[in-house]
Amino acid sequence: MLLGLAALVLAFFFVLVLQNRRRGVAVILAWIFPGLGHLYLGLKTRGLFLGGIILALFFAGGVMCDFRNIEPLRRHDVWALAHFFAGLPAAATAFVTRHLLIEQRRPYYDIGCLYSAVAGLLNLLAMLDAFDQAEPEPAAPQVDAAKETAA
Amino acid sequence: LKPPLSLLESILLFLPLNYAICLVCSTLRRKDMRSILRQGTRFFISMTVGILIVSAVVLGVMEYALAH
Repeated sequence: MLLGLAALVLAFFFVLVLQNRRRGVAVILAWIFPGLGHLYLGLKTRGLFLGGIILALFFAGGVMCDFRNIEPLRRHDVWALAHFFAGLPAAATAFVTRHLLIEQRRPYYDIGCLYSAVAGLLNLLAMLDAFDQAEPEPAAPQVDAAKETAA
Repeated sequence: LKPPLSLLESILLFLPLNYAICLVCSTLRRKDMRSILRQGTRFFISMTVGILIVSAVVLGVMEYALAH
């Protein structure tokens, strides 16, 4: 299921880049790291603000779960659908903590999973905002050949 | 069955999550930071009050149904 979603998103990104390079790159960067798409578009304050909030939520969730909440294949295939949109932080956390096991029931485990999942879904909103903020590139001005030859 | 978190803990953990959601949603609508913070805080207060009222009503009804 997760691989299907990844393939779908990658195909969507590919089409997006083909249609409009600036818009596509902004969305991809926003997915890879929260706020990076806005920074690419020159919206520094907005990018730093969104990135700060999303990363804070993501790592707060990780701390509550002792960083054992991000694991797409063995533990949390449903939560992973939301973590997928957190991009590089989720991938890095999953890779670094891949050998950790859940040895005891933690009281904050569920709410920690929820925090990280909401961070991923908010990053999806940030990606859509980056898509919206990147206006299409202005068309190249038409050179009037007749005018030039007359001049 | 004992729930893992008390009601107060659940509410306290829900507040920052709710505030973050409100701030991100207001970022999508506004441009400058001051209006983002103002609108996000307004969203947060109204959402929190609304959710707490609905939760209190649901809990009250459940308590009543369990008691009778």
